[in-house]
Amino acid sequence: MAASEPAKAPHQLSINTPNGQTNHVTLERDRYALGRAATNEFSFPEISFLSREHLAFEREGTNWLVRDLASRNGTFVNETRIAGAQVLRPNDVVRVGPLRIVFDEKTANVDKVVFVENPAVRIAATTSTTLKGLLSDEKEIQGSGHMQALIRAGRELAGHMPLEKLFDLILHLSVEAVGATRGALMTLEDGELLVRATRGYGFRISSHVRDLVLKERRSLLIRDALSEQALAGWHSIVEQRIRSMLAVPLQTEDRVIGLIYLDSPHHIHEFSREDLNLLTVMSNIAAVRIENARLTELEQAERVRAKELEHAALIQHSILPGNFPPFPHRKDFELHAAMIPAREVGGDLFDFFLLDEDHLGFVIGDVSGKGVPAALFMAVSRTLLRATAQHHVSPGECLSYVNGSLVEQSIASMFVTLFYGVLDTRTGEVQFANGGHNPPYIFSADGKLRSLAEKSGPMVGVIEGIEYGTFTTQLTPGEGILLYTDGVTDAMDKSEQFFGEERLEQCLREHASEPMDRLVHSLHAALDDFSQQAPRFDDITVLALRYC
Amino acid sequence: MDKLSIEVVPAGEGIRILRLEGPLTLRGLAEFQSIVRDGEEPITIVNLSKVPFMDSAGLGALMGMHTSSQKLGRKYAVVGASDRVRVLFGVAGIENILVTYDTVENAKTALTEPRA
Repeated sequence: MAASEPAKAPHQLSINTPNGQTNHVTLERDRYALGRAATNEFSFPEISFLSREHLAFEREGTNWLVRDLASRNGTFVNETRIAGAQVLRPNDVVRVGPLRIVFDEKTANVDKVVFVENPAVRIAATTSTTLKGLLSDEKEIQGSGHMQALIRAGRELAGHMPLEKLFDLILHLSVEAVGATRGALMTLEDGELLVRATRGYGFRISSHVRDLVLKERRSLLIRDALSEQALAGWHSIVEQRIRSMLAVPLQTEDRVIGLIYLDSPHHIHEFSREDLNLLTVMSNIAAVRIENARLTELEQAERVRAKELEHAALIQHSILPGNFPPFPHRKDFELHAAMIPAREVGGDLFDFFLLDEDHLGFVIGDVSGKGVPAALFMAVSRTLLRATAQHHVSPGECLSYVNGSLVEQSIASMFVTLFYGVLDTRTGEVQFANGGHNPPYIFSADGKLRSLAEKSGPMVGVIEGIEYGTFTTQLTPGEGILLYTDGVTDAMDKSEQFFGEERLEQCLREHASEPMDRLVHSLHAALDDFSQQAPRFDDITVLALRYC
Repeated sequence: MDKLSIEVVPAGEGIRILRLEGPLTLRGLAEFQSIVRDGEEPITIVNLSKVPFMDSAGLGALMGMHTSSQKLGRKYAVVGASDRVRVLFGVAGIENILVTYDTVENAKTALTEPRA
């Protein structure tokens, strides 16, 4: 980046005058004198406390000093009279009689720019132009100085940089190009103007000027705009004197995205028509650059998000069993399961494993939350449960242990609902425990349903020391058990109706006699039919097991 | 889907009411948690009467409030849960764990009552 890049935050003084006004001055020169004499940068002929040349603010390397110029009544820093000079630190208060001056005051920036309803803007005295008019007449941009400013702007704006830095650079280039004293860059966000970069403080901009710039896309050069304002207020110091102002839209091809406002004390520098033209063209380049930078940031955020979702999906897929049929040699039961991940990847899990030749463990669960955290929590839960189950403990004891371990790891407000069942493949008896999961259905081939509504306890991983109970139910040959997550019943159609239990039961009745893989697919198909293209907020998981 | 908005209403005597409007889901989670965390008041009443539904993350947030209240010795109550939300509490097995009341007034009376 070029050497002319703006320094980080320039130092400033906030000058509180006796009439209650505060003026903010950005320290850009090396020395500012203050006193009664008109030759001072800050001249207060009305304040008799002051000597003719009372004090000076001086730059020394990277520091700023306040130096008492052998004044009669003295200079006070933080209420202590100084002898000679003293280095200033942020928020130091320099007091001379009724004047209170704060160095690098740390305040909110919200009032940096104020729009005033009824200022003395004499629009008759303004020069106005539009980008369109300018572009149709290339001769308007003349003079080698202006050409160089444009070339420089083009070169410096070409590099990649974060938006905040870009706003600062654009304002810096604009201020330099036309020799302004102060400036502000604002962008429109949801119809509201937000101040993005400033040089100097205490801007009072006419709302009429703002509207002309934003709504009519006019570039304005205004003289004497705040003359009445200046007369009404404390007018001793430079900041309040009559100003020459430029206000131009930041516009892309199809819309206005903000504005740049620059001004200068009239007697120091009066802007010209050429300045206005230059700034108009520059701000157009800048606006396009801002739009591009925004798009880049959006794309980057989107890429990061997509990458994260990819990771979450990967975790989920590497954890869930994927080979079906899982036990092709077994004729005493039939099992199928499938999960359709939501776009944001929920934390659904299912699992099944043979504990011994005659006992099949099967699990379904749903982790709260989404994305990578949910996928990781799901992986931990599944591993804990599988490892605990191998010890042949009852389903209730198993959930109690998993609960204790997860609570111990205490992951903020995350939990998993778990249903864990064990089928005795010789007898059809199912022992199960349910920690806060939707009750499964027992279904027979002819479509009779019953709900396994017994609860062992709350969701797993939140409350310490829960003892989960174990329940028993009996499957007769041909009966099956359907486990599902709330992604099924909470699936929505376009009019935000839920799929709900009734549709699920209906679908289960219709397909109860089919092989388990067909049943699971039919259910997913019914859900697809129902939700059409409506967005899917949660994973949809179904596990079906039939005792043969 | 609608967004969640949360209004914090001081209700005197160290009580604040959080008036939720919109679904309590993963989207509104961070805001809800930070408001719950930042409260100085010893009693927080969460009014769910304008919450049409919540997801598992929302349930997690309520349980988070439950456990942190226990740790910090604070009190809370959840009031005005819709039927749909009550069913969810039931399924999750927390209907007897969460402190719930029908109305804000009932919750206030119960929570400010000196312990027997």
